[in-house]
Amino acid sequence: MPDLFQSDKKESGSYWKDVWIRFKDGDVKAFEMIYGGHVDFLYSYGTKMTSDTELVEDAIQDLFLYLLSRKDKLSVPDSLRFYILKAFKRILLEKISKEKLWLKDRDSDFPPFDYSIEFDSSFFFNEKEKKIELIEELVKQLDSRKKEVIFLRFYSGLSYDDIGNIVGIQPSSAKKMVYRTISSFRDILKPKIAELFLLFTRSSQKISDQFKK
Amino acid sequence: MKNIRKYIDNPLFIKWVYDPDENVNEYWISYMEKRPDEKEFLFKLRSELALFRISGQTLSEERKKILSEKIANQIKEKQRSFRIRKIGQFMLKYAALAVLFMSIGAGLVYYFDQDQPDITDFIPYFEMTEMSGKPTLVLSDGSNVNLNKTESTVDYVSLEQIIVNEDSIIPVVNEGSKMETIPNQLLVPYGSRAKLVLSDRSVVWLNAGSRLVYPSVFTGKQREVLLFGEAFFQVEKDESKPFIVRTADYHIRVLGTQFNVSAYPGDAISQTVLTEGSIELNINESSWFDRRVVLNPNELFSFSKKDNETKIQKVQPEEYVLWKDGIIKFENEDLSRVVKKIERFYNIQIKLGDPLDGSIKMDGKLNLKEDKYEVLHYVSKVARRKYVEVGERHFLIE
Repeated sequence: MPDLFQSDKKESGSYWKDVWIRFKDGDVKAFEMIYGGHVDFLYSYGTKMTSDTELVEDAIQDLFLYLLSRKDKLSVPDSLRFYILKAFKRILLEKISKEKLWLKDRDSDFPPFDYSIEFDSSFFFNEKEKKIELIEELVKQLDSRKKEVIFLRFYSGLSYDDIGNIVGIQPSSAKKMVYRTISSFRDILKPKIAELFLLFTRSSQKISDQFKK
Repeated sequence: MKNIRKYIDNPLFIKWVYDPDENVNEYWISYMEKRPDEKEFLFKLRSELALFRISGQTLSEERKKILSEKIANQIKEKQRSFRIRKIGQFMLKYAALAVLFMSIGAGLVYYFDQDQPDITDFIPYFEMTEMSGKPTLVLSDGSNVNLNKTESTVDYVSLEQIIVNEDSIIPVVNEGSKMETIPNQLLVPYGSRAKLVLSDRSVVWLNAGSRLVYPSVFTGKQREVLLFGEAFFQVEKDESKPFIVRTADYHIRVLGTQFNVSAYPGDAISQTVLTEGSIELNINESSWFDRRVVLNPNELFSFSKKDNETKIQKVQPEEYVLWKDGIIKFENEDLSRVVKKIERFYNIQIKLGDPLDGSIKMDGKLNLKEDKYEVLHYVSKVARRKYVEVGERHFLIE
């Protein structure tokens, strides 16, 4: 197995290290590269913590000014994306709490993080509505931490260590969250998949047993 | 489940599901070729996971661009190293302020801020491509004075008078103090040169194809001029009022000294050579941080516009300043650079039959007071080539 995203040079550490050094030297093109390589993800990530899109844009702006102000203290981050996400989350949460948008009547100390999933409806022929409802219910029941972990896992390419650090949990818990969610997700889909691929049906208990091994 | 973990812990697999690109697709195709037994399973897992597509808001390309400009501007403002504003921002921001449009040759647009006259607020609006007219002096009131000579002199002898070509006196019309804040300009097209004595008695020799923007009187805390092209400066000492030469890529701050600046908009490299004293260079647009360089005598500073690289090397400064006496001297210089200098000096165009000849190394000295045919003959001989006149002002060296 190759290392993280080695096939994609943009994701490899040395590429971003090089860009970061140029950014520190004040190269405007390097700024544009870092910005272009992260803004979509930052925006998508930020809008899951707050629906105030202006606040998210402000946080992106502050992030870059912060990165620049830290240019001397921060030598070369091992993972630029991790460093950027970590700083961005802190900046955005500060803004959210300042604007009193973070209502603390939620379940935990963890900040809000919410999303739904997009469906490619062509997948569901007959049982369409039922499946969608079940999956929506599953996603709804995930707490904000789990939602964040899964989002980061699926969309950022970060390691479990980095994800744990950003979310504020143990890497092993992050890993378990991903496994469990995928497992229950597949359970919902199973009858359909069985139809398609003629696989034998396994009980959900059996799967979670295997999980523990 | 074990099998599933193997894949969901592989970021490349996750990328294949949620954010595939050519590289990732290729990787998995070749992977499945090696393990055909896993093919079906992989496709199934992929289509399952693909259902868990998290919906997200996206930023439009336009908003993205606006945001990036906002950030870049704030960074620049913080660093205070970027002073010549871009025309686009300028139009938005200062549309309400007085804007003067003047038409001189190719046309130049600038504005002035009445509260804070500052030479850096000039907006260089055009590329100096058309530089074939007559040398022209543009005064504060917008009037043009044709200098008519290939080697002209302009001397700001007093607040009321400018002496041109050592004989004709131009009275300076001062309609209130506002006029003083509108700078003058000296345009020196290809084929000409000019010597300018500023109000502080500093002397500037302008080479062919150059333009200098400067005030008729230095009123502010510093003496500022804006240069496009090449000039040799002999700055009068005034420690209370630093002299600043701004160019597109960097500005030079001096107290009193002599140096040559070559900053042609069409050249890939901009150079400054110091012959006396010491000067300080600040790179502007390329950087958010002040990049300051101190230059000592006999040092050449080169700035590459392509990659913003800077370089300092020891040189014989004469080579770089002899042009003001009508001589160019070169040592181990590329034929292409020599040709460029001759083109500007005589306002002609020279093509090389073989582009590779551009790197032929040249040694020698040219007296540019001689006829262009003499010079072309000499250059061709040294390069072991021949020149042909292919049209009016057009030559071919092959």
